[in-house]
Amino acid sequence: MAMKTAYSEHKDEKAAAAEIADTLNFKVPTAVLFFASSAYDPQAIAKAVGDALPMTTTLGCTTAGELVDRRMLSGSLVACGLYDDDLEACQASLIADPADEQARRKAFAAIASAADDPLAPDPSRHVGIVLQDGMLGTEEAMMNTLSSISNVPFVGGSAGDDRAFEHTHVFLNGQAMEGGAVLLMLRPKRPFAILKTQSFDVQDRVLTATEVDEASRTVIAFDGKPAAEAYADALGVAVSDLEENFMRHPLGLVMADGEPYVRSPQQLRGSDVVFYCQVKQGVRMNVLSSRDIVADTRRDLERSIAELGSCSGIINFHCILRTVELLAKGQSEAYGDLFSGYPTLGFSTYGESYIGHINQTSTMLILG
Amino acid sequence: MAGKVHELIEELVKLRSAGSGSDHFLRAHLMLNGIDPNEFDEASADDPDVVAQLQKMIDDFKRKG
Repeated sequence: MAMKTAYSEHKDEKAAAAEIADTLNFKVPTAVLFFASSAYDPQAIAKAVGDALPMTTTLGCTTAGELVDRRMLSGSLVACGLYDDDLEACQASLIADPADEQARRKAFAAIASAADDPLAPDPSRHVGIVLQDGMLGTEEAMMNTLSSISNVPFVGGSAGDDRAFEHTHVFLNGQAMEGGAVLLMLRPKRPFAILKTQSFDVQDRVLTATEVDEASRTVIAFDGKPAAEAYADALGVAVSDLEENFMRHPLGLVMADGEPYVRSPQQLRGSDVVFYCQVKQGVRMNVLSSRDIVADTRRDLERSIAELGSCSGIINFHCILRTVELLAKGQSEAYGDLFSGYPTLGFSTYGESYIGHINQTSTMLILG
Repeated sequence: MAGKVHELIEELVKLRSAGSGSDHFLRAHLMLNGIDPNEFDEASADDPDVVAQLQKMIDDFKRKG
């Protein structure tokens, strides 16, 4: 059976939850993943969804825009149901303090109880979903723990708040939490794939981070020069024009096969460059140049689905910066059309999760 | 001393491959933690911070949850 999607544009939390439950509850879902605009009261929407689906594990987070099937929405509630036809097992856990390594390990151990071998879940049969507070800055620590203790791949995103950048929430079973994280372990009955797609050419120009403040995600110097000056030189622009080039020219950690892991600059602070993710001391990053998001996503999505052989649903963690670019270029509808025919759920994130905390991607779980 | 970083990377690759981990997953994990596996070979000088970081990764994976 295909993953089932639903959405509501009701402004009232109970009415919105009732509308999605009406669609999803034709049989009791094993799990419902839901993404809610920050326009809803977070406690009220979490409780309403939990009350409307009392026999189901319900989890989700707030957003900077919602995606459902072909639609890119704002101010809405979107959800998908996963059923016992699709899943052999699933287990969720809420982390109140993601900065605490023991709390992260304990949560992983809790969800690993759903695995065939809880001490060593088979990464070909299990996949994790991770939803994190988008304002706390603990995503790297979380992903480092998950990627260090297990080979199970986790995908997910950082919760948004419609670009207010003040308060974000995660949800589990009727509870909303600011500053928390939710983990979900799935053992799907059919094969699955993870797609991380970004739309950048890798340029030859390289910047080495020679002085950083990891905790504040700040680069103070590249190649021994003030970061802003070195970055502007690499792009061939004046420092005064640097910020307007950030979205089109982020930096990338480039793998041996040429795949970049994008590190997106957020703002200048004096001569420092503040990023949306941590930059480690000494790393070499290539300058990237943006390409067409719709064309690249189409190519990568078609390839992934062809390799998988079928697609019963897609969960798409889509960077807010890509949403902003699609809107600016009038390409939102064309992007949505890429998912035509596939039940799709997603949201515009404050960062995506896959192996680490990454930027300017669409990172998707594709269910076969 | 030289080559310890390379040796620990190889140990980590072997350990995680035995658990069906993908090569891409591990290499990306290392890169995101500031360690480029391609920069180290048997002759590379040992950076104590990188050695400690890799040893923790090995211990973490052995210890699991």
